[in-house]
Amino acid sequence: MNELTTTRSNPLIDPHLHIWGHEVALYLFLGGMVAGIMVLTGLYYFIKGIDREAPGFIRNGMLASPILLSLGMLFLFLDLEHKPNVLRFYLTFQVTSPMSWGSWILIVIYPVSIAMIVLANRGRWWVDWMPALSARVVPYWRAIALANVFFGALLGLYTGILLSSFTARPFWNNGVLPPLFLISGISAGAAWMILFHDGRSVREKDELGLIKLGLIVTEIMALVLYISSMLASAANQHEAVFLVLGGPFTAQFWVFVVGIGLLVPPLLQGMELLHKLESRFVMPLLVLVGGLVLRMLVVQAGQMSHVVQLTEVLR
Amino acid sequence: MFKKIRYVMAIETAKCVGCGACVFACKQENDVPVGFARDWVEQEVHGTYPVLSMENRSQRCQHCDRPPCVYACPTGASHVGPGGITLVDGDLCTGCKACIAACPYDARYVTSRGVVDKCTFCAHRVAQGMEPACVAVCPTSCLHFGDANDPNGEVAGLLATRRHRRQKTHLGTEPQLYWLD
Repeated sequence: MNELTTTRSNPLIDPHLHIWGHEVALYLFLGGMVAGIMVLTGLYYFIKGIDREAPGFIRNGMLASPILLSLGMLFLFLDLEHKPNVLRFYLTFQVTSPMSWGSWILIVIYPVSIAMIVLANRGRWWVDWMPALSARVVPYWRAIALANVFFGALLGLYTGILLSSFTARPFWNNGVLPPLFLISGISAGAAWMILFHDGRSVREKDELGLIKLGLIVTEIMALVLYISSMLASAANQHEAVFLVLGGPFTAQFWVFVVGIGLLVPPLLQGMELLHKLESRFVMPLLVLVGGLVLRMLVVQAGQMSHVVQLTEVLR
Repeated sequence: MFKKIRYVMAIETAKCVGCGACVFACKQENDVPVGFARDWVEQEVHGTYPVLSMENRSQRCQHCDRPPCVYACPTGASHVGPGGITLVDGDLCTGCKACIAACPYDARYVTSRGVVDKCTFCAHRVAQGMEPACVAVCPTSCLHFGDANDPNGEVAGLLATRRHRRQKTHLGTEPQLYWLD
């Protein structure tokens, strides 16, 4: 038997010692979703060109991305314990800090996504009202579309890299987490855009639905890799993974992330693609709920996971 | 050959009685608020009665040679100071808590001011040639502090002659807190 007594306060018991709460999880979710919207919209324009007007759900979906990102950054700001120093993020660049990389990526996202919005919403009065802006953007449509794919992917990946770089937290310290977050973000982005479907452009919606189905299958594979790699790993990761396999996060993980977020949506999507069901809101909302709970769970479980004390093994 | 100063702490676990004087000295010296601790004592009891062994360990920031907190800090607030001591510049800290998440030893906390704080090896005392408060007050003299690169120093001698352990070295952090067996 090993009994450990400590005179210090415990971050798992004392609320004032907790690290990150739901604000960070909400930011990771919104950031991932914006990344997805940018990647999908960028890809759409890069493949299909700008001659034909894009369906409304792509144009409207993209329109919200800077607002969603700003909302995410507001949550991030709310999580800061010393808010007056917020500008310190932008007075330096720390090459070893993923958070520093992320702060600067967020700044680049704004002009890139706004250029895409102008490109996607040509013909609408508020774009035509500024013909000079539109004229400057349109010639570079291919570069703008590619930049949205690139920086969108960077944004989606960095949220995972930020967490996976912490060797101190075995539940996060996993190379599969960045691609898992990216895929989950793109999936959430597709779900967000489907919410704006107005009944027209059925072919495009079906195409997006097919992409969405592929994304969910890829996300399931990434999640299986994430869990199995930890199960097959050394003591640190092996202990951490039991937080979702019998530990305190088991129900959340299996019911919300796996069940509601990953297993039910492809069934609904499949029936919708066969035109046997019209689930305009249900399927996308389930995907969004699954993506949000995934972030909340990963943020909380990561903080509970600890590196095994090697000295105990030696004794 | 001239070697850079490298401050380390060596702790004789067999001499530590777990009195907690180091914790109180630190709280008083550094004005650590209630509910927080820059250093603390762990007591580990191993075995089943009557075959028992016990070890007391005075714990604090490990002042790692490869500090993950410094690498994770987005503003440069967490930095390595003179003598390899890991410090936090409160004027640069945003309270983002990335360093707290990055620390495998859970040595950091957020103060009521909103900035992160931790053990500094009493850098303000060390700069004046004094020992850290915890070392100065220890009634069993089980805490030893000094320059590991000074071959004539007490700590270098202890590390050269005594069997010692460090914590979680498999993470590659190169902690500078040594437990002497």
